[in-house]
Amino acid sequence: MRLLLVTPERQLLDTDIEEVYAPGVLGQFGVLPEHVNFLTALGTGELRYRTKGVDHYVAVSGGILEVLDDVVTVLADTAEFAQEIDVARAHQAEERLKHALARTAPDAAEMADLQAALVRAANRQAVGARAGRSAVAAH
Amino acid sequence: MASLKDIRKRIGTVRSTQQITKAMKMVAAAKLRRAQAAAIAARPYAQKLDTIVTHLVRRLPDDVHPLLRVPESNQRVLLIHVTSDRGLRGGYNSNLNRALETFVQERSGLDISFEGIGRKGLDHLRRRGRPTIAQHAMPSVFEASNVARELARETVRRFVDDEFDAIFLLYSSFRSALSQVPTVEQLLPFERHAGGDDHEQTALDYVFEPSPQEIIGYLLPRLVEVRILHALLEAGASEQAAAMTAMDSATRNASQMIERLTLQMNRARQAAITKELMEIIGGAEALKG
Repeated sequence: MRLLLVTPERQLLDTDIEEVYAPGVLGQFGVLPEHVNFLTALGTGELRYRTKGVDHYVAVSGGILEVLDDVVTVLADTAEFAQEIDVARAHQAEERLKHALARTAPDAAEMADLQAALVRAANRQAVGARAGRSAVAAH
Repeated sequence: MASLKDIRKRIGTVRSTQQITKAMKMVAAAKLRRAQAAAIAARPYAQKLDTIVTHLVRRLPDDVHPLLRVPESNQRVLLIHVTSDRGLRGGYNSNLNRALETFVQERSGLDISFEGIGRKGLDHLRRRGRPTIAQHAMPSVFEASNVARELARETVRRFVDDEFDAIFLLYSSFRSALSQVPTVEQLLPFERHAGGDDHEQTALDYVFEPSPQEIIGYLLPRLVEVRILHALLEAGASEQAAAMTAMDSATRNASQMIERLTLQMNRARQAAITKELMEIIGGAEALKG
């Protein structure tokens, strides 16, 4: 099974995998070989794929996932490998967003954007924390 | 004939101009490398998105999403004109402006409005007395995706609100460092790719989550955004390539000019020496006499 992971800015992955788990808008789901052809929208969360018995983690938000003839294509709005994420900075970003949210009127137009940004910041932190940890042991 | 001092001064001027053009060429080359990498990195996403949407749209009715509406006429056209903010880009901007005039001529009788990105194109539109509905600066590589998002939002709104029947993009596509081609692309309404039923069967086998309607509602505006981003990145790379080529030939012309002036200077110096010698010899001869 092949996994292709791209964002509007770059291609992150084109590799053979054994399985992949992704955050759909209706919940986390997994794709194993021989999966039925499938098209779904993605939410914000952690994408995990296993290649040569090792798990890898990617923070994704928004986009779609297509399974077509054993090729999984993920078109994500944003995607970052866990090891690329600077957890300390992600944490700072989250704090800043929390302050901004506290100052914003609940009915303001940018409220939804800020909340979405906060969810993304929290997700980046969580996924970033996966880096370095033994991937197989985490299973 | 110019005096020795004048020629020396001119050589100095040309040499300092050459230093500037050489520096500009190197800056453009560095920027080109970045712009080209960004344009190439953005291609897989755009291609894949295009394929998925094409599969999907072919089997959905037109009224499933407002972006798929088929306009009743083609009278009201919007052209988004992408040029650079700065000059010294060789023929880059004038080629695009000429392509715009051709576009207008080919569609005489239609009501064409303009939206400009980049000062050079906006200046051209103003000179020709063509009013623009919006003006923007040409974004850098780093700003491109944010600017594309904003532009896409406005463009989608204009089409959905029935302000225009068709929206086109005019930008320079990047073939190579030596070739940039002005390109007109129809942004909306989406062109249905005719024929090619080979994927029809597999497309029918899709399981959708949530409904196809909701997925297409996400995908279509996204496709507009990605196409605009693609145009901006291609334009950015083209612009730097044109700047690099223009500054390279300016540097070469300066070298030639310095060579020519140096030759002139040596001749003038030789003439001055000969004249002085003649005077000395003449004086000596006179004393002998």
